[in-house]
Amino acid sequence: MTQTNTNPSVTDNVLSAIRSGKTRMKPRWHFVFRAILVALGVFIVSIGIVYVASLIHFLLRQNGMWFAPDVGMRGMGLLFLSLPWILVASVIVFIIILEILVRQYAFAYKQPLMYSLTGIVALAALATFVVGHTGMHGMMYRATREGAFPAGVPLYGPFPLPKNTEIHPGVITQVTDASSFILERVDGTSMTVYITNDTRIPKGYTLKEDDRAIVFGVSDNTIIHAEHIRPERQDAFIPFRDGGRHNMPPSSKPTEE
Amino acid sequence: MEQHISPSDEDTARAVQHGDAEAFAVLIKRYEPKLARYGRKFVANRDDIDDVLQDVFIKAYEHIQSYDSRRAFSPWIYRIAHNAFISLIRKRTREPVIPFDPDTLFPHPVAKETADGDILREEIAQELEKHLDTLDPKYRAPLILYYYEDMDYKTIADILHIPVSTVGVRITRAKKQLLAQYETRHDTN
Repeated sequence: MTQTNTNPSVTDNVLSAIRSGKTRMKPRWHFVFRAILVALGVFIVSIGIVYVASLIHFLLRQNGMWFAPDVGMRGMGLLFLSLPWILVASVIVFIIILEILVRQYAFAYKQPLMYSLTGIVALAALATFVVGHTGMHGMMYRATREGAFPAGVPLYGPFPLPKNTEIHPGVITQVTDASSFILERVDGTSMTVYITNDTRIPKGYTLKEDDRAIVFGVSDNTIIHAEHIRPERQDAFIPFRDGGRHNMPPSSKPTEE
Repeated sequence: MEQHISPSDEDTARAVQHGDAEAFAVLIKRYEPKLARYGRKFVANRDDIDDVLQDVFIKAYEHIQSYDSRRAFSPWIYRIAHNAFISLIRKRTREPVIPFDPDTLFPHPVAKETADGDILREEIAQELEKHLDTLDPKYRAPLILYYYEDMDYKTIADILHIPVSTVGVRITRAKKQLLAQYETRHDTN
């Protein structure tokens, strides 16, 4: 391998530019500041991913769709169709931005893209799970409904209960008889639920007032023909009455069916 | 007899960082021939190479404070040069910039670096020289750094900002491409 001699013009031009002050060294703080900005960007985008992903989880739990896969493939289809796609797209965009930002670090670019992407998705899922258990969105939802958090109206105000859905989350307000009960859905509307011999109810479960449940079945105005009833934990979703409806700004009040 | 040991690139770069602008001349003298040789594999015109090199050294001086002197200096300056040459090629061919390279997407087994013996390596380098310009710059760069600049996969990965396993994949694919071209030419003849 041969080495060529140094080209005097390149060396001279560069050195004369340095000596004349035309070319100046950027100060260290410039790079430190840039590194801080990138780190801050990573932090903000990470927060964005966790916030939006946990919001999607919260909204799906609120409208019952999170539990839809329990009824099989049809439920999976319903869940897919009712996904808040704008929020899902936002999470994807945030993940791409985060991937671009972390690829500036050696620990990321030295690994295949799939590793860093999997890492980001896994950490985001874990953080979403943790945030989901803090009840943060529940608090914001309540604060919005009570009028204490006007900025939350676009996200938590007009409750996004999918129309013509077969999933009805709510609170049992009255057990009428052995074959029917009244369910106050999370959007505040009351429905009469009819139980038949074909309705699937977990063994040993007895319907009680104030129980939270998800009813799967076709609805007709104020009637639901239950195919499947699933009791839920008290914190599975926040019923409308618990969310404080009275101080809602008129524009954000959900329309009653 | 007193032996004169010239300071390492890293020590010299540290001196520049501390304000010794003249020490930068040492770095230029050491790297100008190497980077020119690297550039010649991408750009044929000597004036273009000189222009790019001038920009490379000016950029290196301006950004010298971003260099971490605990790490090797060579990959740092080669990366600036590589980006400058690739950027020139892209400007000329109007090639779009692809943010994610499919080669870096999945893990690949890392090929053994010592698979070629020293003599064979030199022979390959001589043969490659004739056909390098037919290769996509993406494959050309790791091949040049490995066969002409005698760098290991890890250093090449640092310069190109790609996983070490991808360096192996690109070198293997580049050799396959060249072999296919070689066979086609010989079949035609």
